[in-house]
Amino acid sequence: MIRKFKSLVPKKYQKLIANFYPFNKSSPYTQLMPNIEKLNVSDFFLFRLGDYDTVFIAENNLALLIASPARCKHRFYFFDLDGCACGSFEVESELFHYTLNINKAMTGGKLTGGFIHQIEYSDNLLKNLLDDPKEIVFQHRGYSGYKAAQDRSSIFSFVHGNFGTMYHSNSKIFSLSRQRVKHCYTPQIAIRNERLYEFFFLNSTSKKLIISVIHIDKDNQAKIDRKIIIKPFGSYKYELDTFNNMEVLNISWQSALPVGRAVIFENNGVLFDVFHS
Amino acid sequence: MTDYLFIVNVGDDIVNSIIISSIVPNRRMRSIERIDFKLGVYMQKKSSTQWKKMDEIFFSDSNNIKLSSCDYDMEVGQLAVIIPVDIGFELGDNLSALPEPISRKTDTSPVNERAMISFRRGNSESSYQGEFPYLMSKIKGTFLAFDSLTHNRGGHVKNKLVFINIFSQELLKKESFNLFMVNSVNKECVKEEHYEHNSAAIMNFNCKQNYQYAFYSKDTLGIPIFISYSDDNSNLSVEHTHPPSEFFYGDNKFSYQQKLKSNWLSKLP
Repeated sequence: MIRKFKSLVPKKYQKLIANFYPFNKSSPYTQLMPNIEKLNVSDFFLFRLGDYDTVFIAENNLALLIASPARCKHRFYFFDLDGCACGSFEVESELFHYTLNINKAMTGGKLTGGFIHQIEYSDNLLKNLLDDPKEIVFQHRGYSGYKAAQDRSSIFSFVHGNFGTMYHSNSKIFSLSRQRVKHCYTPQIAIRNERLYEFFFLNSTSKKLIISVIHIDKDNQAKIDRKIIIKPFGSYKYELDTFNNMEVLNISWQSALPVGRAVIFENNGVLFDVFHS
Repeated sequence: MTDYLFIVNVGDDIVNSIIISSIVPNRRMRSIERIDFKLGVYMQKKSSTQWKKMDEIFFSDSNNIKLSSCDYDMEVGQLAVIIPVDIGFELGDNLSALPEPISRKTDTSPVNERAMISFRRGNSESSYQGEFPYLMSKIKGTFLAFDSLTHNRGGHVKNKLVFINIFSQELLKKESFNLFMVNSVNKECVKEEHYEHNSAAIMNFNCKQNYQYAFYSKDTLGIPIFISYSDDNSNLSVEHTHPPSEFFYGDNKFSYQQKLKSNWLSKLP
């Protein structure tokens, strides 16, 4: 019904009405773009230190657009589990990709949390290379790689950026992500016995996020296992240990995020796998 | 928007599996939580333009179905396309075009209809949630990806690009195409691999430290999966790269994707 009504609205007004209820019920982002020069938005990424090492592959979007190296300043902003800014790091590069080895000096000593990537080009470079620099909004989706700290191998297990649209402006953090009506997300995984699952939920919105984690057992009985509250720009680790609990077959979670994904680590006691839900 | 799934034989003792659930991946709370569907499995021989039905699978009592490349007799680079269809849909034994997959959505929630796609070698396993969009299977297109996921470099690390190409429409003849790896800076070709319609190009490659690379095809579009693993089976990493449209946000993202592709493909051999 809503879709049919929307199709009757002239195209130039469709974007405007998409911001209002009930048309925005499943819209993950606001359609209203902030009027900020050199706006660039970032997914909200996870860092894990201590037992894990984390690397991040940052893209130089302008260099990739023009197919030629371009000098830029990469900036990374880190947040602790409560969503408080805990560190930052910046570096200049002209490479298509920059590899950031994240360490405790960058994260203010915090072992787990979220981070975003921002990029800055000089005015001259943008004017010389783009027809209309104000028209372009770069998006940083990047790739985070993780490996066990004691593992001597050089192989990191990578996941791509997932969700965020966060940005830094005037020393503050903002987000285009929005919470809407309640949604239920079920990753396409079959929970296996004798595993430790770690689900990392990151809140890329500027409001408190409530998540209810639901276990679905072999008889298809669904039961809420835990209610989680995550502060704005904060993160939370939910654990499911199937060495001791072998009843869970699938897992879901409810939240007001239209796309409520998580970063999942699956550990069998020796090796781990990491993927986005 | 609906999606195919796939399994592929990538060689080197790597087994590819998918897990798909009957539970709707993303929905509003008032929408129904599962839909009835079954899976058709189709394969195409290297020289043929006909799809042959290999399997028809039902969920029966389970929420989840698992399919593996080792369950089928597949050559290296051969694909099996997994098609979710309505439970009552009649799947023909031999087809010249693939049926459109059923929508596994119950509302307008914005998530692709995925499965868990995993690769295992020995004890090491790595996964991602993925799909092959039906819309992509109807157009020819071009392909461009960068070396973001080739961070894992060094003597004992082996890298593979698995380039999945599915064309669901009728083919009059089977064409041969080329996938290239180039040095991103001087644009010189480093490696070339051949592939056909409805197959996976498997490119084994080495990356020199401090060099940057790109991968492209001017012949077809496709989904790139990067696999890195160690000889001793102690580590395996799998992930796909974002399409170039994801470097941009907002109304102009697809026009900038076109500019980006045009800037690269016009400079590449």
